[in-house]
Amino acid sequence: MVNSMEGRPKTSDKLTIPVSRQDDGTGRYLSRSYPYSARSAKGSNMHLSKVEIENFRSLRHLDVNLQPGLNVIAGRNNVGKTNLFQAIRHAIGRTGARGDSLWLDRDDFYRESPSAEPATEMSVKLTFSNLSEQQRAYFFEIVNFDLSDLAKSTANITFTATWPNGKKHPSVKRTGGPESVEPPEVPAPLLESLPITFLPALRDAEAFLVPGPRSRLAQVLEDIASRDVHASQTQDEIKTMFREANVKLEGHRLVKKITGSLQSTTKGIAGSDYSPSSITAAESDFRKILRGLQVQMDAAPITSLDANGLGYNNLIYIAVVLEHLKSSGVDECPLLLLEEPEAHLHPQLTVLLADFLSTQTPGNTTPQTIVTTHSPVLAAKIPPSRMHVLFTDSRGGSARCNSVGVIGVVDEGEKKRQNKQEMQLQRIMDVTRATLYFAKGILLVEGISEALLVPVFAKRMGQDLAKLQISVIPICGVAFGTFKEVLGPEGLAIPAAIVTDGDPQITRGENWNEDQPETDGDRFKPSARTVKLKELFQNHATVQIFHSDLTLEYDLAAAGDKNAMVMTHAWADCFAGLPQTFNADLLQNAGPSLAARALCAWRGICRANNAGSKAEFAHHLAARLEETNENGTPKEDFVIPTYIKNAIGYVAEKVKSTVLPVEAPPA
Amino acid sequence: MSGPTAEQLGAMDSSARLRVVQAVPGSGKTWLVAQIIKREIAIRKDKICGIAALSFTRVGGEEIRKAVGYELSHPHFVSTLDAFLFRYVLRPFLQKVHPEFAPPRLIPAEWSPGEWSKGPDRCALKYQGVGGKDAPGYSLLDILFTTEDLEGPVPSTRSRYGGNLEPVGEQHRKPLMSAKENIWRRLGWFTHADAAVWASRILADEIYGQAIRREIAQRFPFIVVDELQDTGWFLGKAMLCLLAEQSLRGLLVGDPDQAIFEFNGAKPEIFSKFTDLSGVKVLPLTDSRRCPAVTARIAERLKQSEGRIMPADNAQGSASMLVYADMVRDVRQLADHLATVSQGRVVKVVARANRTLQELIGHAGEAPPKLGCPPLNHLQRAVLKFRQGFQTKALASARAAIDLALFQHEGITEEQLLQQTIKPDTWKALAVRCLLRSNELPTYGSIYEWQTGAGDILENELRTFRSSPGANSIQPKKLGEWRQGASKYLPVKQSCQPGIKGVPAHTVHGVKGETHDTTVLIIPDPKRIDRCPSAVWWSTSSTDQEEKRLAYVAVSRTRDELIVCISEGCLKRLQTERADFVRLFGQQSVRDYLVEKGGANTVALLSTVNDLE
Repeated sequence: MVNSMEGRPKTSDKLTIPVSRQDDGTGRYLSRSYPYSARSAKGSNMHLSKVEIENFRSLRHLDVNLQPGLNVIAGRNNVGKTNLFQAIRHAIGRTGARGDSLWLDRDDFYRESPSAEPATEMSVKLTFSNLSEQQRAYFFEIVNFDLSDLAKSTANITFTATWPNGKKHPSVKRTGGPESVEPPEVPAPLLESLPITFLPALRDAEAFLVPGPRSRLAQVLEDIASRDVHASQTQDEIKTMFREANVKLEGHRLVKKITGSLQSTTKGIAGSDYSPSSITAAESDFRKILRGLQVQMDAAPITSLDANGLGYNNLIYIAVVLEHLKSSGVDECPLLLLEEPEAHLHPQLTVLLADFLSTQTPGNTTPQTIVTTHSPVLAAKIPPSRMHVLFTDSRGGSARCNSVGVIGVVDEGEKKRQNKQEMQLQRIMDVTRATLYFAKGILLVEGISEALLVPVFAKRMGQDLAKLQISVIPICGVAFGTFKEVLGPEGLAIPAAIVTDGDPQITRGENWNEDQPETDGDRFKPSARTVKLKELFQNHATVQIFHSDLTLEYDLAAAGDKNAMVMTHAWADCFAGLPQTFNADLLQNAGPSLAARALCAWRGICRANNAGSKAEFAHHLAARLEETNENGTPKEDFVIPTYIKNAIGYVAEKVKSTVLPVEAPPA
Repeated sequence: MSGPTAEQLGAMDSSARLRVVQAVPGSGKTWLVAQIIKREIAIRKDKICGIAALSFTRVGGEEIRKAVGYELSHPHFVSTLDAFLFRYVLRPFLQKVHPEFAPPRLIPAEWSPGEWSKGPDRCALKYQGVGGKDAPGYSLLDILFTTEDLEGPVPSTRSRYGGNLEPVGEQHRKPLMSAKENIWRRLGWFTHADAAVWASRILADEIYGQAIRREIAQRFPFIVVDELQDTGWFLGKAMLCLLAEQSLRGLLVGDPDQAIFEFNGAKPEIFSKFTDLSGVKVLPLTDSRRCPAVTARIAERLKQSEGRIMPADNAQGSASMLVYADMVRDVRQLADHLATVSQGRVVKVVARANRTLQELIGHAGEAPPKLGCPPLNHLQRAVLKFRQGFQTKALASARAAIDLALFQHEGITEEQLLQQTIKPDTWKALAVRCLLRSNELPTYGSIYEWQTGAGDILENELRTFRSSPGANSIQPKKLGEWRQGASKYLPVKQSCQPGIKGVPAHTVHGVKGETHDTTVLIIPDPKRIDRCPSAVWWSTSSTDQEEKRLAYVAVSRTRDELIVCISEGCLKRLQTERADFVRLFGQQSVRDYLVEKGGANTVALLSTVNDLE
């Protein structure tokens, strides 16, 4: 016996016939058991779960993990969102392509630099997961079986293209199945069963909606009709309706008259036997009838499509496509690629569409849809678990696409926490307009005061946050823990500084000006929340915590000798007369020490019960700090608190050094 | 064809899970298979799963395609059993069940891998064995497995010059299997024989076998196996294992009397194992719709099993034994005549052995001597195969020559070529160029001179292709047989198509399943009396049974005229020992036949030919 059988149960070499476990000898079927888990028996949801791209256009390498239903890929311009779509389309090829035409050009091969030679080979691998038992049978040739749990088997297609020197066309191959030395070509029917509908940003929706051979409505109706058990009856019924209409029309005196005169005129001109015999309303061929149908808008003043704006026509088109894909059978795994839907829609419609895609067509029933966007309006309305962020380095090569949805979902208990966290994140995204998804670096701050002042301080430091694409995001609270996974290497993987307050416990005095923060030796003792936050983010790959000693206002005043005086002016701007809780006199009386002056400012602004708001104060202070002399130097002499300075410096340096601040640990 | 017979209708309407159809020649089994396939397709409108229609040979698959009348494309699969098991068992599941194996790669027999000398990574493709100079020296890619015992598959091989398969010596078996194991594990290289063994193991695997069988049954709920009698032990075992899956239905067709691949490891007795499966119904087809009465009677005499062959209605056939004086000359003249007078008729010359055909065509070359330079040995074999009309084999040998010369081992994959930035098409074109240029080399000198010329061609082509043609010298070494004339091994090429004077010529194996208007069976004069048909066709020796079946298959191809070309000596022995058999035939000499059939023109032609010769 050969050695390969050692270490595992021996297979019988005798000519014995195995008795199937489902056969009890009576011909009855017994219940199915291992390795068919419950998942495989019930409805499954085959979907494209992974895309691996090598050397395609601007993408030297990119892996994208996807989920069933909706996937939204946010990313800045030129990161490769369209290229990701085109790569997926090329992987399936023209057989399964619906929508725009598909050509592979020499320029589609990755170049290290504009002057470099293009790569000799490109590849795109698509992996499909969650195949049902029937789908494993149908897609057998491309299935990579997992024998220990068949439900975990995947199907895959690898597209490779080379461009031989001197040839006018690329050499293209689509293979599938498990790793193989000479993998077989994927049968064309299987590619047809993975149809991809691509709606590009600059789509001409009307062209696909008006009657004619490109009518998507006709395709929908034809496909649905063909799947109907009474397919031929349906066809006959519709054909009869049109035939009857034609007969009636032909019999009408107007049509009769024109037909007669047309016949005689044609014969008079051409002397030919061929002349019009009738005038009809529609074709009698089923397919041609369908091609003659069109969608009309009930409520619109003019019902025809050309009277609609681009936006509405696009919405109608998307609706038609979704309807089409919804009706797919077990032998189909359709995919909808929707590029920048915001391109034709005003923000409110964009929000409605986002809401529809994410909630009205949930994962199990909707066709898998991938949407690319750089609209914060759209991104803000999408559940974070459906968001992916695509980013790339300045050379345009290494790209990464991280999924917010895959972070930390481990078990049921964890899932509850995760859901809560997701809702929290969703609210923050909504409020902050999801700028998080599009930034290269983040300064997360507690509230509006910091949000107003931090950009001004950055400018005084010589850092232009806008140019560096660093966003300052107020989270309107202190729930920074929500961002731990989101900002990590498996999430957005962008450098972030959390700017928060030390918030020591306050011992209330008789009056507000006697309130005293808790100390630990000669320093304020940070609050338990701050300590916990620091612990939470300790050794975090991308996020660092920067906190004030007491609060923003205290630390502003404590940062420099003249700071507090500048602050009195800004505070005074908030009131019609002289403010009573914090002014130059009170500051004078506080004494010379920085700490005493800072306490004075803190008590006056933060502790006193007065009409002025901290946000308004921050607004006036920011305005003052932005004022410059004629030579461009700041008018006000003001020292930036160290913790803010460090926070800005940290993020700015990280962004400047690389867009990929951290490498994700190997999978 | 008139309507279906009662037997055919019975088979078509049977509701048995597995229908085993035992069909005599010409009983319309291909038609029956096509009808059943069409019915199955008609009830499967969803196209989620398909029908696998499998045969032992590619020709069998083509016959099914033709009979069905339209393309049986995906999700259906029409091919050989070997291709099915590799594609749907080995490739998807081998590494899942045995992760220690390299990804499997099927090495077709047409590539003559038995002639390969080295594998990649110094993986041995030969097992020299013990015994010094007398060691057997097995080629590991030539090993077949015809049966098994308690130790597992029994490796068998045949000598370089043909003959029956023999188990390897007991002392060599274990080390040889270890060497095979090494190839399987490290390279993932599987011959068809290897693939059948492993497919049967995977399907019977105690842990995963059931799941695998069920997945395949989901993909192909209906499986058709044609020519079941030619199935080898392990192919049969694999299919038995699969068909035991109760959710699977099947149609198994064959005729143990027509088993003619035993020489290559087929086990006709496995037929009966299929009838033991649960849910089987055996359905015989005994009415021949092809053979006229005389041929049916001749075939009955050669039939191994009991039972009659019912002749086709209204078929007026004839059978003659024509005696040749000179086999090559007379058969050529006969072929010439038949090609002239048989417009629109299917006429084929059939011989038992390839060697007979080569002799008739004029392509016979002796096994080429090895001159100590493996790439040139490959190239020489490529030219010989090319001249014999075997273009696929010729190209494979030319590929082996350049593979070995540049990469130091054979069996280079497309992936390996691309890694060296060589386009597969360019590499193939290089092989063709080397082959065609070597084919133009003169053969009037010694074989050593020929190989020297071929060596120059190979070296120059590789140098043009690459700056350095690899580390090895590709000049031949002078060994024992270097003085022999090249023409002895490389006869002058006459035709690329195997045929004699316009009449296609094939071995019996090549015409399996065919129907001819005229079948010309050539029986060469045996070197030994005991190999004469009079002895062999009626022998009780188990080793001769296949000879009888071959004769049975050959004579049962015809629907009109059967001609058996035989030497005078053979005929006399037949007349003495099998007089009743010979009486079924008309008898005359080839020449008399030609005169009778061809009239004055043929006689004049014959005179001219004879004068010239």
